[in-house]
Amino acid sequence: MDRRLPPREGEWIDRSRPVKFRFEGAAYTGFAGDVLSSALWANDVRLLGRSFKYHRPRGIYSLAGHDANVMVEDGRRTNIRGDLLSIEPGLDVRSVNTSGGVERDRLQIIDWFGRFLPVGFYYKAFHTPRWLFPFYENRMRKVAGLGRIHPDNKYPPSPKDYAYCDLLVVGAGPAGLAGAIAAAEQGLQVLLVEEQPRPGGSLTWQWAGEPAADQHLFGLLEKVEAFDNIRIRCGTQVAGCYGDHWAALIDDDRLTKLRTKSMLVAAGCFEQPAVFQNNDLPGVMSASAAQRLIHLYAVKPFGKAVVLAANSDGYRAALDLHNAGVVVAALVDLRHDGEPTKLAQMVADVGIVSHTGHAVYEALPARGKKRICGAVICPLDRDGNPRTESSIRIDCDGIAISVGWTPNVGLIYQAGGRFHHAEQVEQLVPLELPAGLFAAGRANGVFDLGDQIDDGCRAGLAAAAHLDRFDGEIPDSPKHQVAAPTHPYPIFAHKRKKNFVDFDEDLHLQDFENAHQEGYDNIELMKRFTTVGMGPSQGKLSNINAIRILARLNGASINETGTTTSRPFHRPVPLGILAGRRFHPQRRTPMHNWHVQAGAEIMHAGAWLRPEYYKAGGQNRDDCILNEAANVRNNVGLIDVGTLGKLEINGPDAVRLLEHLYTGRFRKQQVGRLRYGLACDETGVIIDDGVIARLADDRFYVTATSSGAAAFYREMQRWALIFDMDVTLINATGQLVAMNIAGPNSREVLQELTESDLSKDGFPYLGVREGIVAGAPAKLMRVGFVGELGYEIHVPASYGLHVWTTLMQAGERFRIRPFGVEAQRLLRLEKGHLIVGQDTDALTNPYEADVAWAIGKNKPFFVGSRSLDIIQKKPTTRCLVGLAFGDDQPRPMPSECHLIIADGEIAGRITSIAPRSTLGHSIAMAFVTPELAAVGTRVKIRADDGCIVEAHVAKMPFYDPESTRQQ
Amino acid sequence: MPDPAARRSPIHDALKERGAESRLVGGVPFAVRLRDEPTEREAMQSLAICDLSGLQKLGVKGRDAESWLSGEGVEVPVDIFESCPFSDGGVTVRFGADEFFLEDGVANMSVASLDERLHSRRGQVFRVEHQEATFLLVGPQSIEVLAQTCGINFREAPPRQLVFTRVAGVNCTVLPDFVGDIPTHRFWVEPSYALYLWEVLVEICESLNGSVVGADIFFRNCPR
Repeated sequence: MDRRLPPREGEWIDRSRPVKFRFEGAAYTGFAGDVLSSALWANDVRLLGRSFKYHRPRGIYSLAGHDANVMVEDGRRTNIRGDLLSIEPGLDVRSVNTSGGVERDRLQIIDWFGRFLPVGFYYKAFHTPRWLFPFYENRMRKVAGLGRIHPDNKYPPSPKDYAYCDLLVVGAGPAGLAGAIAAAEQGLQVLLVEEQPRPGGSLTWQWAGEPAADQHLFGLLEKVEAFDNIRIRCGTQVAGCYGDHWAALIDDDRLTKLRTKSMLVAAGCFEQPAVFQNNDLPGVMSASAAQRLIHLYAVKPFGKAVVLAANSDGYRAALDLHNAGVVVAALVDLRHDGEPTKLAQMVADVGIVSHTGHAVYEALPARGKKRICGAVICPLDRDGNPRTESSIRIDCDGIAISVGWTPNVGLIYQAGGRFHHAEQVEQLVPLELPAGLFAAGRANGVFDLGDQIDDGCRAGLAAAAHLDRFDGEIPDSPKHQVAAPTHPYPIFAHKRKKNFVDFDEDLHLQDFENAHQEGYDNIELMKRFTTVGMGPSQGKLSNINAIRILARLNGASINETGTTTSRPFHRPVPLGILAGRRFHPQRRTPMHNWHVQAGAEIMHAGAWLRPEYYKAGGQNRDDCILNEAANVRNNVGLIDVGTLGKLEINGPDAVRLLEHLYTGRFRKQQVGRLRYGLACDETGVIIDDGVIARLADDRFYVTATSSGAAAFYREMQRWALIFDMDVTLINATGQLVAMNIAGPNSREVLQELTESDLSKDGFPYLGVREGIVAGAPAKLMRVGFVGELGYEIHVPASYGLHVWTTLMQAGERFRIRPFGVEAQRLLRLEKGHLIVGQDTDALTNPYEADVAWAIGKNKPFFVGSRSLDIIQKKPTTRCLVGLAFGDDQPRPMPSECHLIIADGEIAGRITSIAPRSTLGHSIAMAFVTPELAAVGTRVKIRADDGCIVEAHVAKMPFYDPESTRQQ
Repeated sequence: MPDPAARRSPIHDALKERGAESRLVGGVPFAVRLRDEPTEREAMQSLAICDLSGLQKLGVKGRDAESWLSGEGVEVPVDIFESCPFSDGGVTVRFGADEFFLEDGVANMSVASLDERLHSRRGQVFRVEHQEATFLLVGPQSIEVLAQTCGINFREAPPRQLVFTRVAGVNCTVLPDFVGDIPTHRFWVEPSYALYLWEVLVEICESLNGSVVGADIFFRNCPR
């Protein structure tokens, strides 16, 4: 059956664009502009989902995404709300939470066992007998949860962005539109956000057909269009409100991080359910859902309807249904006095029978419960209890409910607003709002249409005044004059206990009474025990009724009962949107691509990408590393050390600062010479090391460790200020690159590319020169980190690749090879050179690390000197020593951080280890207790699986102990 | 003497892969064009990005830095983070009380000349090496790219006032300005992060239907 109505003004569908889609394997047609729920209803498909616990049939309830009845998955995304999912060609979705499809869901049998599954049953069941628990857990995991994740799906990252405005208006209904206009008139930059696809809010469906309402809608929209300083974003929710008016906006594509100076919440209300038997079945829906179907999607909601009302909105809904061709069999008004406005007469004039002081007691299910076939209504006594002895059965296929509203003010709660229950409107209204936050319209308890617009205007002006852009008089909020639009207790007991308070969690009225009986008599406890409001709709349709029930059970007022805490997000947000495009900065030297093309295996060193080793001729990793190292020892190699820290200290107090920062002495250091620098913190712990090169009397060039450079530079700046030094500090780490050419043939290779005198006499060990290398301005330093004749070449970054490739070309006849980080670590270990942060930890002082020689004798002061004076007088507790292993390679080899064991106690740990070296045996550095530190002492190392490997303490350096090769 | 032709932009390979036409400007290689001029000119009207890393740069720091620069005829900004024109299309920026940064203009010769004179300076004036990559975002939509990568509201950032911030997670200096009446944003980023930042900016630009263009849009359109 096609339920589509003839074309009507203001409909959101485009009848010129039919759209074919599939639901549960069956093909349907809708129109562009339809959402899944409306398109299915138009095709007379009423069974749209299954409930979470009992797998009861469900259909449209709010048609606004306020409920979670219609949730589908499309094979890529899951838990998509059918009320908000626009249909597009090729859409193919299935309902979540079914076993065998929504029609034949095998788990619907659980509904029959409802009496055995009261609220909180899982706290009492399943724990005995204990041996059965794994079985229970396995079964529960299989049936629980909503939707399936498809880990193989790849998604492009969604963009995230920042946005800014003077005023964020939440909700583009009458109050929101009016507020935006009022604020924009005062010059504010306004961002108007609406969660529905089009602006207008309730003006598009609730007042539809009334000329005044239409005029308001078009007039407001026209005015908004005319302002350049109003931006509208539809299809966007304000998902959360954080400190300092930071709001998260979510749409289908992205997360926007909005910083606003003020916020106006005009987000309207959620229409509340009535609680009666079978109030959850397909065909029972809110009156606003029925009106949305009619006015937005041109779909006839029912053939024959009963309208349950407790306010004027219900009467409007009855008229809308009638005008859409629905037979309104009865209008059931909970109020004994009925509707006080002319709407009552209008309803009577079209022949709708009203039953005042009555309630819908039960919705009668058709076979299979996939739709309803009637309603049972009862008169109410003066206490509001149904008199079932006088019940009337009315045939119908739909019940539209309009018994009240609860404000959509989660954002105000999140922002720290406080509310109180106002009896004149029977809803929570703002009591206290934080500075810069405003509420208007029905969210503020203002229901008359004209009053909503005035209230919006008031709030817009108040926002402008808050930002000092308006200094006129701000009117008060309009007061609600007529009957409350919300019934105080639309909740009716039924012995068969399928009268649902929370549709998401399948909680019925008795569940709350049972929970209260067990002692959960506080709203927070009630929430957690029953799980009310903890489902996907986050309590939008259930929280206020739960509060009413608890208040009645406690004999308390709504204000005394209180509410639970609202936290972001206000509506479920896909994790993919939150993740979005992520930034993972990576640092590369200019030679990076060269390394990759040369077969480098790239490793991550912090944010840097560095060559670990270069793959060569099918060799395994260890062979490659060893061969690179051997080539340096025997020939010439080139390594990219561009990650090194490079700092300049210039000025009259440069020497003073160096003497303060480092343990060594620099006053008498000659221009053109290097010295080793060791830096400690105030507790005497080693924090960095490097070389200090004197370029001129007042100019020093300093290297630092790659990982410590930024922090060490900050320390330099700090101490320069504290000591009031006249220095100019420069961090050139990222501006220069460095490479180290090392090996017996390094001089020959480099000499081809520079006119600087590289001879032993012209450029001795620990010298520094400035010159030109391969056409690039360069600093050259004779250092011996790897223990061979070598030159460290520092050039501006833009010259880096050119110098590197030129060196490689010049070195071809010497069979130059690049070597990577691992080969360098091996070479320096052979030379006994420590790496700060590798062979030292957060407590290592120079005495333990065997670098006390770097402490200048009789220096009056340096950072850490006082602590080191104290430390020196105490016994050392550990020593950094070299270890050598026997010629036969033990298996397995220990790794860094493996412990040294003596007499069953921990006596140290490995800090660096090379299973293979150019020396032909394994070597390591380790901390050991002083008793084990003597050369020749045998030590035991516990490797993986508890194996003990033996080594002996060896003198360092292991290689070239006289350091003749690097001279 | 250093050979500027040996210099390379940190994103040289990325531009080469796009078929960029190269030319020396002031002796330094630039990727000057990727498409025909009308197409690139049109791209400027909405969103385009180009690499100006080859523009020579110089930092001057120290107690006497300001007086030295003034003595060399360089207009010096008064306030910190302010900028002034330098050469033709170039810029002088004040990083701090005693620190200045200069980037050359379309001829790309003035900085080198100043650098040479810096070597023979007297007093507390020290040379600071600057090898940052320079990217120029052009067009009204450049604001959208910044909105996706940076938490600063560039709609309200005054032109020619420097912004030190983080863009796509890396420290970056941004200078809002204009080429004619087309808004531009000039980024300076440490060369080790340049390729990463370039790839992120290009990805976002292209998602907004922007395009990569050659440096000629700067050379041909800068006010002289």
